Amino acid sequence: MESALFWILLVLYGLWLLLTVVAAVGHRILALMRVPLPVWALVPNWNLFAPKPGVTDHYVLFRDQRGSAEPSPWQVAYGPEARKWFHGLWNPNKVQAKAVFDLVKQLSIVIMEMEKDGEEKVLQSAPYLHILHFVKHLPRPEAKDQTQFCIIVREPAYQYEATLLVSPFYSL
Amino acid sequence: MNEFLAQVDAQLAVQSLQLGAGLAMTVSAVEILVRFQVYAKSGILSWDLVRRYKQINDRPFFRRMGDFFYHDRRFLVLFGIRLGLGLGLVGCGIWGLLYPPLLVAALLSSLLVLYRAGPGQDGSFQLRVLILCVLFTCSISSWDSPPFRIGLYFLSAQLILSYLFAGTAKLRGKTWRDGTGLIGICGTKYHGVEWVYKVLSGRQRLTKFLSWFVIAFEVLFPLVITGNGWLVAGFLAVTTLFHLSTSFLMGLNGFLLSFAAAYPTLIFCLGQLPWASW
Repeated sequence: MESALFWILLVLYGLWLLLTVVAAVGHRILALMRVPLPVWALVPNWNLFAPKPGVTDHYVLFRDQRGSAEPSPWQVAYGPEARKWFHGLWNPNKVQAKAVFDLVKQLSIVIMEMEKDGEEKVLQSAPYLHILHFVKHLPRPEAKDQTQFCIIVREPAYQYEATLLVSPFYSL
Repeated sequence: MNEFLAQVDAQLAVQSLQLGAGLAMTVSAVEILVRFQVYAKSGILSWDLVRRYKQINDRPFFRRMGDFFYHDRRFLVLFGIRLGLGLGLVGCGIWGLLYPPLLVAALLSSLLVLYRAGPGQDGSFQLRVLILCVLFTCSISSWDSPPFRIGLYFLSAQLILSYLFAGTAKLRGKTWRDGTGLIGICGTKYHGVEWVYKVLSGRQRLTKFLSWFVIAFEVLFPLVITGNGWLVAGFLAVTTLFHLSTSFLMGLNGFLLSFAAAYPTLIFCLGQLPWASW
């Protein structure tokens, strides 16, 4: 029994290590293997903060409109929080911050491919729909008819700021 | 130093894994419970949207499983359970117990979270899943038997690979090599700290040195397999300080507990090498 367990674990852990190495050396090989989804998630990706480090801050702004009135001024729906000393122990806001970071990163890739695939693909892409959903469900003190959002990308160390995207107006 | 390293046995390795994974799971569960809005129906990571993102609508089994477990309230309850499991692991870590049902529940709940996560997944979570898997296989094996040890060897190999791959990936990045990447990170609100940015900006040599220091210790980390006591202690001291600094300066609070919890396992496994000096 012990011996059978040993051999099972040897194969399991050996394969796991092999997949980890393959994932680090070349994602394409792993993609070609088309492993079912839950197994993908188990293969660790150790390329943390590399080769391109995260040097950007992302801001999601929104503005609402009621009837034919002028849209409201832009307001911040999400912006990164300044570092606090206790974040090393307790940092609950990192969940949303990481979600926005990942979504905007994915959206940037979709936008880069826009010339090839057309604008429609951006408006129907998963990261775009996540952000739209988030903006539409923000708490509002009074009823509004429509909303619009934009994403600002800042690289403070390089004095760089750009508007990644301005959405059309959507009904609320 | 060698006497100190020699005191690390399988018992201490397993206790440390349970303590670290348990504490990290507890903190992370409470963090999500207080910010559950992110995962709620109206949140940015709403299951309705993640489901679309994962493209599982054509996979009936996974869709049904997801719709059951990731329903707002059940997912909230799952984090309540994870809080209990985390505390249970801490308790088992303190008392030196390996309780398979607790470990299998912690592992399954982690797999459910991992599968649900989509965007927003934390890198340290990956190591915690590996730790729980190893603890589970240890718990169903006889104490210190070959199946018990193989998990610990696997975890040590993953730990060495994690630093090696992180280092080689940085080596490929131009901005890591010239130091501008490091200053770029420190300049952000999301991952940086203003005072560190002020200290580093305008000091190109210092930034480049720090950047190469990180690359060097990560790439050279596999040298721990030489089994030299001083070298192993030196590398682990540097990596501990590194994770401590990323926790407090970058807000990555899950990494220190998860990685440091695995260090006694690494010391124990390296100590089994015939050429180890302890």
